[in-house]
Amino acid sequence: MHVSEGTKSFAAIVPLYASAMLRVAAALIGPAEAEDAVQEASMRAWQAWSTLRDMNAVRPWLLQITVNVCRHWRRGLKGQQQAHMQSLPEEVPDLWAVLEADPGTSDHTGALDLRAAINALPGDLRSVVVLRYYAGLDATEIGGALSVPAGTVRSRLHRALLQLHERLAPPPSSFPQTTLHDTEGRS
Amino acid sequence: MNDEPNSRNHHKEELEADMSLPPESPELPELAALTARLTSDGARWQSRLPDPAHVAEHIRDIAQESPRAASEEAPVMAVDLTSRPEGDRRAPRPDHRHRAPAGPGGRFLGLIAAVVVVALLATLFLRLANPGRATGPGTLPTPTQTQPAPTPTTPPATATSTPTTYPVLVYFSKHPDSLNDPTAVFPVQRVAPTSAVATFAIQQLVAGPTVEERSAGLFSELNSIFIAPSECDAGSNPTQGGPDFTLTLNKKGSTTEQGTATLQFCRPTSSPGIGADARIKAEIDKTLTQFSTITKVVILTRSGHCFGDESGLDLCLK
Repeated sequence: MHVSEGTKSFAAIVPLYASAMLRVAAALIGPAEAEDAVQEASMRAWQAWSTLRDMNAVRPWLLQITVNVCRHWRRGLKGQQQAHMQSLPEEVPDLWAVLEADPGTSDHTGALDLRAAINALPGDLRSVVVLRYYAGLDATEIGGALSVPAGTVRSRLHRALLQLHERLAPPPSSFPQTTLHDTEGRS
Repeated sequence: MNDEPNSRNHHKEELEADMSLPPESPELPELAALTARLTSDGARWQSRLPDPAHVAEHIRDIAQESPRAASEEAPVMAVDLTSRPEGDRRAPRPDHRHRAPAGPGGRFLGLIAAVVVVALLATLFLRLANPGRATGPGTLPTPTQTQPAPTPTTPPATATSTPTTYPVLVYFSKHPDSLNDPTAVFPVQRVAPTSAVATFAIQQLVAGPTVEERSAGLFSELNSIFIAPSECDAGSNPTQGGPDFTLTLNKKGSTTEQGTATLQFCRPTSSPGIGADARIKAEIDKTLTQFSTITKVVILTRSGHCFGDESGLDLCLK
């Protein structure tokens, strides 16, 4: 029977991607709300399940739904904040793909610096970084989820890495070692 | 519990496969250390996420607890929960709320009904005085095509029947029925002071149920999804703001399709959730398909995408 087949196929296939959906949601809206967002995305997937013609496309389809749900999730939160902060609309932070400081690594200064630097990136660069390194997606998957070409994702990722490298580079000391070496080499 | 052992293995393999991917084009050698650091922190981040097996269990429950999902029945418009076959639809309950009971309570309800009638007459008067505008501040749709003419299928007229008014039904959700079945909607009567009955009916849906109707459990989340002002042309009176939506007949999006009405929101929306989306779609769908000239409804967001379709595929336009 069609209904039971649909139910069986959904129950058998979609849970396989729970991990990927969870990682994407956690990277985009934070671990605290990720489970609820995945639940929501799964509900939407279930409602549209019979329209999915290509079973090979399940993973990108589910990831795109998850990203869209997360986008609404954050937009809704931001909308609520704006409703209560009408005088400060410009100061509402961009909450999309902001990494939380992990309490478990609060003593890990390097990790905190890294996440702070990621959070300081522009939104379009930040989202590809968190989806690549914190959700574990490749450029093609990120492109599918964000509806941009994979080449654009690679380009953004490269720019993001350059900016991160610049932000995380140690400040130059007054007597850089390289300068001394250079001087020694020439003398 | 995980009665599908392969799924967990799959997660592990998938994660390992992902993490073993080479960094995305770290052409500059100085970026290699950075990508390694990102990969390491990403792995640490992922190790602290909720158990995916627990999430997978919930996903399985979704299908098993909702065996009557509309998508099972609808070949194309699967996201549209209102696409269930007629025989499977919950029949609208007859509206008994306006039947005045005997006694003092009945007189009180009669008084409220009289106030509503006066308000409707005042609305009619204002409309006749300003024929170029739709009614109601902030909720003024501008029909982009001729509205469907009232048909004999419209409900019996109430006491306010005049040659220039048209009774229409507006379908709201109701506690607790619509929380269990988002497609369950319940009609109330309104009197349209104009032949643009479809636009008027949706305006009334946006305005929400009356106090009396709310106390009977009726509700609509339609108004609560708007998060910004109208971006549509305010017409001849810009001080009142643009309409909440436009309604176009015989169009599926931009494509001509007889019998299909396209409702597009003029205001950016934010979805409160899958249940609310489904209820809003059911309310709009049932309210518009009461008119014989509308057999199918397409609901679009301000940006032109299918409302409630998080797949991004815009299935309602296919």
